[in-house]
Amino acid sequence: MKQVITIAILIVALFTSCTSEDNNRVFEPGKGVFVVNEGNYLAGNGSLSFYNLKNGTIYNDLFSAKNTRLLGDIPEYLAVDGSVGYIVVNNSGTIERIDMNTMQSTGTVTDLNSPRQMVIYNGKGYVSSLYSTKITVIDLSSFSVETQIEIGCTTEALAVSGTTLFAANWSGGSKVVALDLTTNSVIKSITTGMEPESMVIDKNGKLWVLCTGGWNNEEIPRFSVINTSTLVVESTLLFRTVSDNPSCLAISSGADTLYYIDEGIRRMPVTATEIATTVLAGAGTSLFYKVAPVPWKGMFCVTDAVDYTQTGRLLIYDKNGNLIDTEYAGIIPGFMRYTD
Amino acid sequence: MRLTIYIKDWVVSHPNPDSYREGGVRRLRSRGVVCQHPKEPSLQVPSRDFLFKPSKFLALTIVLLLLVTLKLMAGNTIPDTITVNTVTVTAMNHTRELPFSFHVVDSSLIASERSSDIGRLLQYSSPVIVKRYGTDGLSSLSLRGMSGTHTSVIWNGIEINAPLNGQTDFTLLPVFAVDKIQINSGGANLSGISGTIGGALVFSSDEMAVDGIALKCFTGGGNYGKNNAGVSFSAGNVKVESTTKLWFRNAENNFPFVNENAPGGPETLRRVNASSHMRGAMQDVSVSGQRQHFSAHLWFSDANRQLPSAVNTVQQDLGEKQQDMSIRAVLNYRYIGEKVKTEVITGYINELNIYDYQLAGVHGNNRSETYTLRSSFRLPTTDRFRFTLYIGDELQKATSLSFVKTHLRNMLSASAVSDFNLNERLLLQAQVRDIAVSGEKSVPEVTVGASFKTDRTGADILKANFSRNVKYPSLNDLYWSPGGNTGLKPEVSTGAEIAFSHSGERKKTVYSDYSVALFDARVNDLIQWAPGSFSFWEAQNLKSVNNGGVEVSATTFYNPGSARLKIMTSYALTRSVITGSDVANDASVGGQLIYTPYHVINAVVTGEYGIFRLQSSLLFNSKRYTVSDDSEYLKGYMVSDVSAGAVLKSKNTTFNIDISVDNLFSAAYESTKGYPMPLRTFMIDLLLTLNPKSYK
Repeated sequence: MKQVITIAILIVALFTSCTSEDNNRVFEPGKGVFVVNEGNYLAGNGSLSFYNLKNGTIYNDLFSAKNTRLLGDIPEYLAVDGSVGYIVVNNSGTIERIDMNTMQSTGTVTDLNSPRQMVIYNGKGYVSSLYSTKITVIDLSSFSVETQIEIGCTTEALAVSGTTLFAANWSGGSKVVALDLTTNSVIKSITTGMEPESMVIDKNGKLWVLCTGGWNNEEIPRFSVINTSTLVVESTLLFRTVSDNPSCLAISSGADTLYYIDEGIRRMPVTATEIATTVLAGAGTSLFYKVAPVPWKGMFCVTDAVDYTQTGRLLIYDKNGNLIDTEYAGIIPGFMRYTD
Repeated sequence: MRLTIYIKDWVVSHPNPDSYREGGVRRLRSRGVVCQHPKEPSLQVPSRDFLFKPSKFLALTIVLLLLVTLKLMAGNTIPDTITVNTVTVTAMNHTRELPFSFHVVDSSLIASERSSDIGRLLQYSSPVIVKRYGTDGLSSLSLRGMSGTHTSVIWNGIEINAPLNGQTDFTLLPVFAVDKIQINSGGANLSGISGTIGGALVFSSDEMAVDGIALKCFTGGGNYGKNNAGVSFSAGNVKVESTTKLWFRNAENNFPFVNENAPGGPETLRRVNASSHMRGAMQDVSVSGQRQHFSAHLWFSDANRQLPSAVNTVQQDLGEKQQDMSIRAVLNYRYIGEKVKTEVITGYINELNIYDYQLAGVHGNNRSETYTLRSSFRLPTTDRFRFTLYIGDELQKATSLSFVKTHLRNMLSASAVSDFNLNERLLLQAQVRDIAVSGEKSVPEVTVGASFKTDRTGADILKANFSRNVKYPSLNDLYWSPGGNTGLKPEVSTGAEIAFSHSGERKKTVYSDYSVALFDARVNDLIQWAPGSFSFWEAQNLKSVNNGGVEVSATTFYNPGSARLKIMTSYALTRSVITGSDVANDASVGGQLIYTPYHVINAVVTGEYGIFRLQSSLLFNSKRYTVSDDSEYLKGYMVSDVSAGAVLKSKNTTFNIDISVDNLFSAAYESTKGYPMPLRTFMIDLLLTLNPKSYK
């Protein structure tokens, strides 16, 4: 009898704790994609969404639902370190630290100068800036600004290989700066095509830089492929004409397949010597903004910004480029990050 | 014996030595006759007013004739021969009888808000929608659900919208700079050079309003660093008049507000980087003869403003600032003959806008010049049929850091207006206009309308019109680099309106004026900036909108003995619905345009007793959507203001003191998302008028 009562109590306690935890959840976690919705400029209506790949459900406005306040103006990027997430909010000049399971904010860094993206290395966050020529270093344990590194240009995309940080000088620039993270000093400025907009590192240690050719179409867009050891541009893959407008280079979880937006979604292996000639998924009536491959049945996700003023859509494709699901996300859905 | 005669809206009475200028009272010193216009004086409808403003000589002549008649009827003996000049009395349509809606801002409100900007004044006194970026930030005005670019702003006959962005910043227009304000709703009036869809705001300076020398000095101060001062010096006689105005207005605007979305929870902050410093000068000269009238107006304005950041989760001090400088000049010549009337207006505007955002390394330098020449000719026709031809030309020249080169655009317009009085009650009107814009295909415009006096006194007037109007793209829409689109089509509006207007009987102790207008219009090829083929936004003709609604205005006067009570209210119901879009997957179709509230209500109650004056104002805006698919909105708000004052008079001096409290109940609200407005604020205003009897 005592055993029965004990078991009953344990069952009740277990049920109660699960229910309590469920009540705190604003989304159903699991394999899925977090979507950073940028919101309208100056409106402060940026938000965070999560699309659960297993149940095919999108959960919107996660940050506000949990923290009963706004996320801020133009959240741009989500960095993740284990169960801790860092949302870089560009126009508010903040970085929100959140618990990735509950979406609870656990801290905020403020007064940053137009932060754009963040990479994590050795317990520190390195933050690029659209206006400042410095990389901001955040001590993640105290979650405060530790120092700033002058690199001589504004920056956008970041990537880390070994102890080297690569920072792309996108706005009006044509170079990638290599920074030694052990000494916080600039190693080299590597000339690329005009306006390096996005970049990824493949499994062979090559840094792929997508250069848009300038906002005024000054030159043909291209990939500049940089050897992360020698810091030399090893190859250049040109697009078709100066009127092409590629964007958003992303890489698969295995770092062996590239995805990018070019009149639709294109895909090519990292061993390719020329750009992809076929479109994997056409845009149709959508306005493709960002693409992110997910390590789940070869699928990939694309955001549709509609007209960059209203609620956008998340489009989920299978590995063959067939649209399998469409969900409404937040306003101007942008950066995506897969988690499991 | 007190003799009271009604001539349409004019009340003519024997002089009251104790009377003084107040509201619309005018004093004529000829023959000891006082003409009191209890309504607002007829305003300068550009290029139309001279057709409808009663001639002083004509009014005097009629008065004399009536006096003679009444004297004879009373059996009194009078000189049996009175020689007068031959006068032809022509029946002219009053502005009220024009077949489109308009609203005249009460002159007492203009006087009481002299230290404010026109945006604030109109928000409380008319059925318009004002959107402000904080206290002294950009203030744009919307009529009938359209945007600020669809509202023409006309000053003494010339349009002063900036040719670059097509808008006017009402924060930069001080109330002190204008004497009369009229709002023409909708685009039915085609007598201007270029079109408008939402409507037009018409500002004008008093002319021949002073006989003698008069001086006005005002100053005021309030919390959050508000201070202002101004002086107006006028000298004139029956033939010539000059008025010089100088003013400045400063504010720190460091008011407290609560940031509900601060990371650590709601916190009270002070607004930063929000100061403003404005100054201006104006010179008006008028010369008037029996048939000819000449006037010149010069307006200089300089404003330096800090631009506070939007407040979302944090308030940032980004150091944005802006300078706006302008010079506006107008020359006006009018000839009013027995049969022929003509008017020629020439104007010049030079504007400079310098924007600085040091943190981002972004700078703006925008300059524009506008040359205007307008003329109207009322041709000799019959008394029942009138035909007026308008010809105008506007040359716009603009340069900007975002323009590849300096751009020029010329707009040549010709319009014809015909009025036909079918009988003494029914007026029919037709207008056509064609505008030749450099490099553009012209789109003709037309208005047909009618007004009907439901009774012979003209107290009640029913009016209706149908119109097709065109609004050409701004220079930024055409030439901004990147994204400007020289292939843009003009926006076209097709709509109709029916309205009713009542003018109360002045001789009663209580009387009311009110008007109701129902409108509906369809706007096609609405210009919107949207992502283009490349990595930047482009101006495109993307959407169509249906604007419909109701506008109601009412003013009630109560004059029991020596006390006066005036209640002014207005209400606007506006449905601005997007009916079509060229954007794929556009969820905004069927939704309300952003920042267009369904309901706008305002009310002003003014009471005067003896030397004391009390005024209470109320403004209500219902919720406004802030995202094009109506997925988010700003909640509605209600703001109450109150002011109390006194007027002290001596023989040649009047001294006014007013204490006002704005946002009496400290309502926390935003006109534009992310830009908190001040809670309760205080202001003390002093006004000294020397020789006030010189004002007619």
